[in-house]
Amino acid sequence: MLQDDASIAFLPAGREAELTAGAQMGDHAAFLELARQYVRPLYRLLYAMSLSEEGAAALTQEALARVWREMPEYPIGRRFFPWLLRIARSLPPAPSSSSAGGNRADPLLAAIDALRPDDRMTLALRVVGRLGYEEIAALLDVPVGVVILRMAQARNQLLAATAGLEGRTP
Amino acid sequence: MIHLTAEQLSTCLDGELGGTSEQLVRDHLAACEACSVLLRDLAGQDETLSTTLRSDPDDAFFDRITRTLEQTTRPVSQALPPGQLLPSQTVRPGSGSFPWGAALIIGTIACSIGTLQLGAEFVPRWLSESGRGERLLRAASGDVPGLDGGSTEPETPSAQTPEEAANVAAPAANVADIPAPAPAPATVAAPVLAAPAVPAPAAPAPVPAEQPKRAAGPRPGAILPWESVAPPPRVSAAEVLPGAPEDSPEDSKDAAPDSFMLVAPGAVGAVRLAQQRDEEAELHPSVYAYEVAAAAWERTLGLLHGDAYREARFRLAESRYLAWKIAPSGERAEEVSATVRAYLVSAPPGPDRGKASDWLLDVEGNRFR
Repeated sequence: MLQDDASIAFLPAGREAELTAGAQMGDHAAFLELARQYVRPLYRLLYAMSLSEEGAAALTQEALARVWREMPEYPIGRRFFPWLLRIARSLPPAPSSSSAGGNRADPLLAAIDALRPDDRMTLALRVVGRLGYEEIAALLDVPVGVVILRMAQARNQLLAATAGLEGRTP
Repeated sequence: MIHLTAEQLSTCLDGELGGTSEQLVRDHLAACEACSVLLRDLAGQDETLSTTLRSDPDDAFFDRITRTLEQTTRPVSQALPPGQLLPSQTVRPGSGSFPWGAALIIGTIACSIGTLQLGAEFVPRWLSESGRGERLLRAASGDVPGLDGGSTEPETPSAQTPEEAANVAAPAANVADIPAPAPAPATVAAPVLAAPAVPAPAAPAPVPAEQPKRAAGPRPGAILPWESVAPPPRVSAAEVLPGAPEDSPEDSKDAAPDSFMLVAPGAVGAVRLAQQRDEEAELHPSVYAYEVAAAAWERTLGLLHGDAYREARFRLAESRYLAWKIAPSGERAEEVSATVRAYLVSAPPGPDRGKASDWLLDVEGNRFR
């Protein structure tokens, strides 16, 4: 159930299965096609996590290279992007561009940096990736209820930090 | 008045409320100024976030990433000059869906039939060298020593001209470019379900004038499920790393390739792939090549048991160690330590165990010095 303007354009399942099977057998061209398909959404999500173009680009490249090395371990029958995202998130985070030791002048940026990584990724998938809750839940392999909680928590935390408001929590 | 929860507001903002819930929230918002203001603030914050969290570089930016990725992940085979590709490498790109397993079986059966019909003089070199061709002929005449205890006779390769070698249909078109394997010991060529073979006596085998490295490796394409899968000769650290200690003669003896005999059908492909990666790494040693080999060996672990499992663990440790030797790093050292220790847990006494212990000392000594 992808929205029309969604940033993450998933490959059709059949085509993706062909490419992942080929890449798993060592087909470099198949791997590169997968990489070209998902390099943009991966970069955008990693940028949202680091707010650094250089850091996100380096991390994107490293994640895709790691994926190529780990293709033999690819879980057959699963979608590619969640696996790619999981590997990318397992890498050491890229340094944020303007966060010298975590001190940002902009309170919104500082508040974003203070978010829990899971909340921040959920927020990024919604705000940047424009995915629905069910898609986010599938990508992160969590229940939809967890997505609802993370979204509310992230938004409330940012609003409280930037507007000086005490967010209401249940 | 009871206000909306943060979850209700957030979910409403995303349009993810449904049915009755949405109606109740709408009714509340119509009557509650505080919640309406909060919802508007959240919406405004989302607008800001959508620009703050977003980066939209142009296509050239992504082209650079993918080009670099293409270069850094390019398989070793693509760096080889034309005419020197291994059979498996020449067919891999763009052929992920081809049923290679079926082709392999059909090709081998075809060769077997041709062997039986045409006689010994037409036995392909890769069959005669491994002893399979001779056994097939003996089987056809009712004299199959390998089936009742394994042959103890040293087997010598049959003479064959390069033209005859070029006529071998399997396993690949550029087979002539592949270094010819040295005569395999009888234990390697023991046929399916043969009883444990007596090691062949040390007969002087004819050695070509120019013996390429690892020429005694298995013949790709000559492996069938439940047949012996001989590992290629070990990577000698001294061959790729100046200053590394030479392998002792005992090591060579220990490398007698019988660990992968009678592996399960599901493991044959994985073992073959790992062996090919080993060969590629030896041909073009690099961190990447050794890491690829290590990954391939790692994949076989879940498919193997007993000696084959231990051999695969050894090869995995060896590949990681050689990668570390080329480009030492803390992370790589930890991988080597863990891998070597995992091997040593079940390693029997012998030269392999000694080698692995030396690697561990080398890696951990360097790390903590």
